Amino acid sequence: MEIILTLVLGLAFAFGIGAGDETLATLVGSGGMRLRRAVVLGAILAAVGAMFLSQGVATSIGTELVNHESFDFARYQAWILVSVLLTVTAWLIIASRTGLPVSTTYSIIGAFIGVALCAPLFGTEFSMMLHWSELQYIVIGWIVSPFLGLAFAWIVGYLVKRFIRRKIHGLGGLEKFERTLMIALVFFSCFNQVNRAGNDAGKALGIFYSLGYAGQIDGAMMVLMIIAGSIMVGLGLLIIGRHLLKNVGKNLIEIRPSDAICIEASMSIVLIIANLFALPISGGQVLIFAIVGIAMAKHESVNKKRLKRIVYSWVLTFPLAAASSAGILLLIVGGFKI
Amino acid sequence: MNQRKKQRRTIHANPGLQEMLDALKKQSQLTEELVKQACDGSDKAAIRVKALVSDVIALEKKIDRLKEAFIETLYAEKGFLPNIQKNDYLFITENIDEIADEIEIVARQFQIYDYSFPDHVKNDYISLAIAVNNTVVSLAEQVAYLFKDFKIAGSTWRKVQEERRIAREVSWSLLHEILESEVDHKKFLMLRALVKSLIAAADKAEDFSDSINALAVKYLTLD
Repeated sequence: MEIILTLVLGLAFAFGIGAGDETLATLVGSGGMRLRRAVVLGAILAAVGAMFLSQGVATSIGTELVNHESFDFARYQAWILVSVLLTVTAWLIIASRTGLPVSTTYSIIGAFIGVALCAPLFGTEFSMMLHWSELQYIVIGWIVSPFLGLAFAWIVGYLVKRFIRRKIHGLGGLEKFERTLMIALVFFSCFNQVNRAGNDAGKALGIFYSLGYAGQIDGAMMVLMIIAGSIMVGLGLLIIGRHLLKNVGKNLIEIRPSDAICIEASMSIVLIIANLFALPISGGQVLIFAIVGIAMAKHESVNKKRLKRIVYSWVLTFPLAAASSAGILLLIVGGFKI
Repeated sequence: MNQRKKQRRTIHANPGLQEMLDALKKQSQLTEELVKQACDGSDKAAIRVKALVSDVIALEKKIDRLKEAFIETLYAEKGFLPNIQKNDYLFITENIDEIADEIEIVARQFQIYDYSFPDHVKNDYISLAIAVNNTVVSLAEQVAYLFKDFKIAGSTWRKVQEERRIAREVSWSLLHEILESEVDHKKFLMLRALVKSLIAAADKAEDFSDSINALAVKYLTLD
């Protein structure tokens, strides 16, 4: 029963990841693509990215984070995953309610730390529950990726300004320039959609890898669930994600293609690096820091109050997710004496 | 090539906008000619006045149609321009239309009243019409430069200011002359109304020129 519950929650999480994907918002916001078309294209690309590019991150989270040998993993695995999934789903709901870019990566890792806090329940020690070297690797990715996003956006923004923009003298030239960049923007946005879906979906599909490698579900079932999870990512974007794309793309972001391309190019570089190293990074975090980078390149001020609020929400996510998953696990394993 | 594709291509290099500017320049030049013919006072000139009034009104209607077509293209399904630029294009077309409306009011004055100018004000009316025309033509050049070179658009702004200042000076002197004239009340009101409607077109052009200058500065300092 608990396996079925885990699978259902895993699919719901994959759906939630798709629903919270705002990768194509810059493309919609800069007027490069109509919302309806962006949603359909985004859903297809997200499903493809989830299906083919998520394995590295999924394996990192699903099989390499928890130390299976430190306790009776098979006995508790499903409940551990249920507590993690419930926590992450709650964060996704909070994110959609508050409009804050709450990081699912932070919440899922925080939730695993919460699991480690419950080590005595499983007859082991906190320090033995997780592969800390793996966690260290992920945390370094968190710290480095936003700054890489900022730095690359600044560099691309500076180069565009220094070598191209200054040579344009009138609205006619500007129009031609932006139009040309739009083609590149469509390419970068689609590329990022596939890569980001690969990275983000890995966090949800990692659940299926975890169950598969532990022998809780057979190989065919694991593949089937990965396909179903990938489709759920696409469906999430298609059904719910359209509202986010509309809000972010049409209401919050009104940018020129030349700015959008700097942000998307920076995202592309960071996502390629992250996927190459199987690092589960926060796409939203990279996006926001890339926007800060482009603002710095243009000597524009950033809304520091808003930025602080976003950073606080990231920082808070980690301990709150840990407390949440620990609480759920205590309730299930301790309360029902499983 | 289908119509939509054609429209999409025409946004670039703004032939729609250029056509509006050309029509505005023509309308302003015809209005100068209209005042000159009205001041002539001959029978032949009177016929010419009627024709010119029709032409000026027709050009206002043409600008209206061009504006509608341009806005449709601007916000068309496949038309593309960054939103920030779209708003500026809309602002430009609306202002061109408003100046054309002001010029049309000048022509309408001739439609509703058969002007016979006192001799001592004729030259001032012609000077005013020339100054107003120069203001509008300079403005049209400034708008065209906005699409070619922001810096020149900024410097053309001074030319518009200067032409409008001349128009303003002439209008005050003309109003003084009218007040000093021995004309009946109705004629006085109509002569004054004509001065006011001529200077209103120059004032509107100057306001728009200020905004174009601001746009040029905005785009120059955008990055």
